[in-house]
Amino acid sequence: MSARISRHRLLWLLPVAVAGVFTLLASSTFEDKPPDETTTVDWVLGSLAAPLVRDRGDRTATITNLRLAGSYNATTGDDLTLDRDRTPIDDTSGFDMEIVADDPGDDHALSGSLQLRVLAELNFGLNEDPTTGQFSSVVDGTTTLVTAQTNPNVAVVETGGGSARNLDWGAFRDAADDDQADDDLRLASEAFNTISEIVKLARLGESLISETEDNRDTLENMGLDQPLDVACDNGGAVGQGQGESVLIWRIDAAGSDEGNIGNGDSLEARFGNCFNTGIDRFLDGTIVMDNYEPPRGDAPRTLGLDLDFATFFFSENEVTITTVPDAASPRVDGGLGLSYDESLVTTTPP
Amino acid sequence: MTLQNMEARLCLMAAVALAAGTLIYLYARATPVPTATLALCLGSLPTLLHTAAFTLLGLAVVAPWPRLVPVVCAAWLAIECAFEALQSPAIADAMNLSTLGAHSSLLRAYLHGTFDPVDLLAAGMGAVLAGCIAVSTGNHRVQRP
Repeated sequence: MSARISRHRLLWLLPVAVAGVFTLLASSTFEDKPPDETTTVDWVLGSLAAPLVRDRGDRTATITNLRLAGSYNATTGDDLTLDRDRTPIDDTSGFDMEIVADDPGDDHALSGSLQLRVLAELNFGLNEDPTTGQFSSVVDGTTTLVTAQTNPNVAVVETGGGSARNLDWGAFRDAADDDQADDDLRLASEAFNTISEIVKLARLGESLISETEDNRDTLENMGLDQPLDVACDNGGAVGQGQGESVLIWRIDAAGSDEGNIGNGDSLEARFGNCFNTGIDRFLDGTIVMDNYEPPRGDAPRTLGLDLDFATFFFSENEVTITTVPDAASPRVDGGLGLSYDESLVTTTPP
Repeated sequence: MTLQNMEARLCLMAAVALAAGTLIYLYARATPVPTATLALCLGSLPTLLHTAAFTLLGLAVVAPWPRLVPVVCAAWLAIECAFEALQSPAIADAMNLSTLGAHSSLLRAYLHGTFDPVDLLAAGMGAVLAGCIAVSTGNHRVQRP
């Protein structure tokens, strides 16, 4: 009876099944997300084997024994990032810094060795003045204490047990370049400014992880050692040159996610005058990313990354072939390790 | 009823079911639901509609062979149940699906979904509903052209 109708017709079941399975999978993009929960993110920025070196033309700072750490509250849906109004830096933080003037004959150039220690949690913000906290800068046995005060919002500076003086934070930040100021104040100011520079480098690391994750499928399809062009944010302003940027997957670490970009892998990012709006800087040079650990999946997540800079310009202005390090175009070498750990905040039922 | 008429009806009903499921995803899931029962129904209704829709499409294909109706219904129910089971953490771990998921963002997103036993029930109801529609539409007494 049914022989008059070709059995080839049954082949139509195949596209029906394929479409069914595809829509079944695609429907997951509409899945209900679990409600956000409160989390705590503990973060640490630390030294690597190669010390972090920052050359700004008139002086070069070498930073060792670095540990900037803190924790902040967030929710499960938030990115793990230091891109926050305030990033509290706790009292386990500090670093050693040696500053060498590029021109030793310049009496006004800043030089010296210091140890910065955070003594009370610093309510730090990249674009905000601290309102609480205290840190010390020790230079040749002389301690300069800097205390954040709220009303008025000033830095209270006390050097070598002497009388305290109030400086507004703008003046305190500028003191590093003020050749009329005393060296202890200048070095304390330089140390405080260095905190901002390190946090900006960490933000760059975060953006590299985001960029890699956004392009993960493409990079995996291309395989190891194949450069993937990534868009820069240049081009808006008149006269702004073009930027170039590539991402390269270098090492596929052994482990459960071998064959894919995952934990322990190494990648490389190369930039040429590439403007990044997220951190508001022009980037030029190469950054090697080791021990890649992206914050994937649901909370609690972790983020880990070792950044290795090689003559890397991290500049407020465009970088060209004639660019040399200066205050607005500092050059960074060495390493910085990022480690963020998210944990769910447990609440006791009433 | 002619074969073409019945195929057209089954396909039309499948399209309606798919459209209804899409509308639920687009609108109903974003809005708060007043009761838990309604939330439960709305949560699993797309599974019911999806199963019904693709079972109906399958039944449209096999319309000339009425004895295949239960086979198509059971087959599509099995597919839906299998995919729902993949969202169970125990099964996903046992099958090492995280490695598989790393190859496809779509599969990765799917595996991130939540296993819900009610969805299995909804899939069963969808398959039965499609079978009933096919029978009531005249699949068992179709006049071939």
